[in-house]
Amino acid sequence: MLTRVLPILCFSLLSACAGMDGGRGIPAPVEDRSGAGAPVQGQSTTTPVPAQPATPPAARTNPARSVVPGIDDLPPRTVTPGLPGQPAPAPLEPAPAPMPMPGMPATAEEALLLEVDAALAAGDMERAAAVAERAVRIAPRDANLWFRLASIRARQGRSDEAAGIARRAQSFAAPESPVARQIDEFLRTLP
Amino acid sequence: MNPSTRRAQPPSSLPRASQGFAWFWSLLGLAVLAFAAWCVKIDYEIRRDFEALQWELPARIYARPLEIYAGAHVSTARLTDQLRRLGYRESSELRNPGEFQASGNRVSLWTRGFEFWDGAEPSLYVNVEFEGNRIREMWGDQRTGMVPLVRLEPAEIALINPGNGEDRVPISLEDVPPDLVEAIIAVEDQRFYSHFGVDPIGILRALVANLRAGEIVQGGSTLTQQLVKNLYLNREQTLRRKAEEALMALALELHFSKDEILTAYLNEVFLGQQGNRAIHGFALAAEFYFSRSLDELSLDELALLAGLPRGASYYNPMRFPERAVERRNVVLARMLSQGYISAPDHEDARNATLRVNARAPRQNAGYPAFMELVRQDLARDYDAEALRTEGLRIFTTVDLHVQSTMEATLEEAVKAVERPVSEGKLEAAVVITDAVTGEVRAVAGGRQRGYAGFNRALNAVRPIGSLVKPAVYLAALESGRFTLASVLSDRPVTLQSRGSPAWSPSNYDDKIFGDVYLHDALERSMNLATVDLGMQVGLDKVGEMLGRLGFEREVPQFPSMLLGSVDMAPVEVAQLYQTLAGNGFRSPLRTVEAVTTPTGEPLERYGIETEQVVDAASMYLLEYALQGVFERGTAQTARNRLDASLPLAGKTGTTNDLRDSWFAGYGDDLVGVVWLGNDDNSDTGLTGATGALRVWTDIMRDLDIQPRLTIPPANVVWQRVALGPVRDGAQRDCRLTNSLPFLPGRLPDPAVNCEDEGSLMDRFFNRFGDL
Repeated sequence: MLTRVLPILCFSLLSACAGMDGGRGIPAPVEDRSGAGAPVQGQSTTTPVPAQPATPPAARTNPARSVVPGIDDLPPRTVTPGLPGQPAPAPLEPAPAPMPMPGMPATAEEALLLEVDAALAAGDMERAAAVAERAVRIAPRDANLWFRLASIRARQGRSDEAAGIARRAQSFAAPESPVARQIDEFLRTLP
Repeated sequence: MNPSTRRAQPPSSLPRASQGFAWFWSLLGLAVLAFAAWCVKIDYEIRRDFEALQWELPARIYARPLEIYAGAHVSTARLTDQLRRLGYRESSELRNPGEFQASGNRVSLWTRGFEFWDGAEPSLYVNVEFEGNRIREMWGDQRTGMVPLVRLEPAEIALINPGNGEDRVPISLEDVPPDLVEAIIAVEDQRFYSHFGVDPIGILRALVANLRAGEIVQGGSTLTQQLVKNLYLNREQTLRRKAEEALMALALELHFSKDEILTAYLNEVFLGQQGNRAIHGFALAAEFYFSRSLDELSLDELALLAGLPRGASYYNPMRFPERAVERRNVVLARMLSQGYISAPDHEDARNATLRVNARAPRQNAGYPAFMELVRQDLARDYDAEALRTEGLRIFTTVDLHVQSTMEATLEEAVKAVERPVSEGKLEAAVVITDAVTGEVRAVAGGRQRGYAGFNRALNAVRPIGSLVKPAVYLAALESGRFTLASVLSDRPVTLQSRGSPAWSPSNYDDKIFGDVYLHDALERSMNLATVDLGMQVGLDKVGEMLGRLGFEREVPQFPSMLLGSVDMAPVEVAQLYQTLAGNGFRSPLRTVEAVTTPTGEPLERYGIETEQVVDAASMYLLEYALQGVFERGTAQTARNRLDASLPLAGKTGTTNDLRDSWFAGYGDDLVGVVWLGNDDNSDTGLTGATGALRVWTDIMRDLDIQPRLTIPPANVVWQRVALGPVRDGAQRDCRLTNSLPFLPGRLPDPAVNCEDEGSLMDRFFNRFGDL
């Protein structure tokens, strides 16, 4: 008899004394890793259909991990340069691989420069700088890429760094080339 | 004591029966109150602890990710090596992320995607076609077409562990494969979704099963109870604790949802041990046992993991594969009998071969020398506590291809130069950086692979010998008073400076070269000519040049400094040569690129910095001589072995009594500094050329170092000078000349200039005059 009454008594007491915050407890800390494979523009329903394997690899993937190969690593702006912030256009028509897609970047540098544009358009200067540096690592003697990085630093108000990087850009530019003149002008106007 | 019970204390006149009754009630009341208080305390404790449940997460350190794109200097072997290192599975059909297929010149892979500092890298299917050591082109599928660029996930190279040694990768419930959850419920707690924290039916069932079997085959504790037990693992297991745990389980169920409890269980449970590192939670266990992420595992692999909480050591699949498979099959059988899987699925999984890692991936043992540099860099912005507990992701600059190639070559190369043969005493240090950005790509603190003791790359502060000479010559060229064709005096000299004994330097082998050209003196590392030059330029100017090149400590202002009686660690030397390789642009050496939170939120970024400290023209003249070191000077012996990579620039260094053997050199892509010496500072029997240069050459050859393609600044002019240096124009001999770079206004001295002697007639008379 007592053994049946006690727990009930006990827990009614417990509930009465519950006074920590009333609401539901904060769940255990968890890391949301779904972002790792998440697409940029929320096209999470797209199913990957690689062309190469004999059977399409669509079988046992976790639905929480949306796998969108290809175009999603590029900002939507890729197809409409000059219109930052525009939503992504309709999905591209399938094209026979390996042909470059119209409007798609053909080289790593181009792809990264488009990503720099996207970050700038989103006002994320430091991300833009990070992506520009990624491009510089891929093509370390490209004056244009260094110059791009310099102008981002200038926009961030980091003039000293901008000057150093712009001079480095100049050292890679062909003398008297348009980019060399732009860099000269840039260095002159730097505060 | 309760006043009411005290009042109820029976006077002695009352009947005995009623007196006993009162005692009973008062005791009962006390017991109930005490028990209630206990319950409240436990309830409070478990809620406090569970709500504040903040796992201490170790900082994870990542290597530089491999970038693949058309034109990238990446071979098939390098890509597949990297994929294997990342735990990708070779498979004939790509069905999941984390798989690849290699045949001939083509590798097809499905990347996993990763949250980088600068954004998410998507999971992507891509075909890579190679041509020699480069990538020819890349394309995806019908939708993606050509793929310009793919960044693989970075390899994890180290952890900075919390004090308790616990390691985990937290995961949320929706990212856990349903098969795993079902397997766990089937085998550990089949009434999980219907009980209230403890499961009397489960206990009974377990009791019956155990009695029948005559041994313990089933446990009766629920997942909730197991979670509580895990959360308070260090407490002793007494009967009182067991009761407390049951109460805590009830309290947990009262205040938290099943999903919250299940999530905590999936992340908390202990699943393995590696040295003093405890593997907690299923996400980390998947990486630990299979080198793959949880969502890449098949049913049989998930079932294997689900069987581990019962006894992670006993069922350890790496040590006891039979036991682990047996346990896995028990889990699968339960899943079948409870209707979670079909008979064919069960059959397939049951017959699947166990494919776990042969041994656990190495942690913290891989790159201790590089990690020490990382810790030094991080210490500026993060305290030790934050690094041990906040689960920071630290993206470093180390390139595992460069690091492992260097390590693999180093040991053999050091053995090959050691005299007496293979005594094993000769030590080494290597620093390799990116020639453009200053990012550190590889470090070795000793000759042995993965050596974790005294880190000579950072801490062996030794005289640098002739490695200092480029600073002397650069200061001279920059001053405008000297050209590559200036004539220096390589003759014995005794210098007296304040407060120090007279100093009489000599050349290696005690040779005396007499009048020599400046470029020749550097290329062949002549000591007396360098002292002559340095004293003309001024010790202060040389010291200042070292500072501009990136040496941060005080330089002693003694003439012996001109020959390298300046002590530096290899990593400091690397900074100097970094600036030379950067054509006069100094970029501070860096090991950390960015830091993010565990979920990829950007925290800190350390970007490329660069500052011009020497003008391009002076740098170009200096580099002419540093390339001449390979071409005509002290590094000539390496020419044959480096043929495809030439031209390269560099300098040998040897210190008194052959105590230190140095070489520092660079191509277009990499800068490398090699030091060899004995820890007791004794004679190594090696010069820079016979020791460090040979090690450097072996390493750089394996790394396929790229030739220097430095473009001459627009104002540089080439002029012919007489082959033999003379101070008197009357002795000039222009029959044999050598073309050298000069700057307008800083042309060769008329005494050696053969440029104006353009006509044949002039040369004829000139020759005539000499007779």
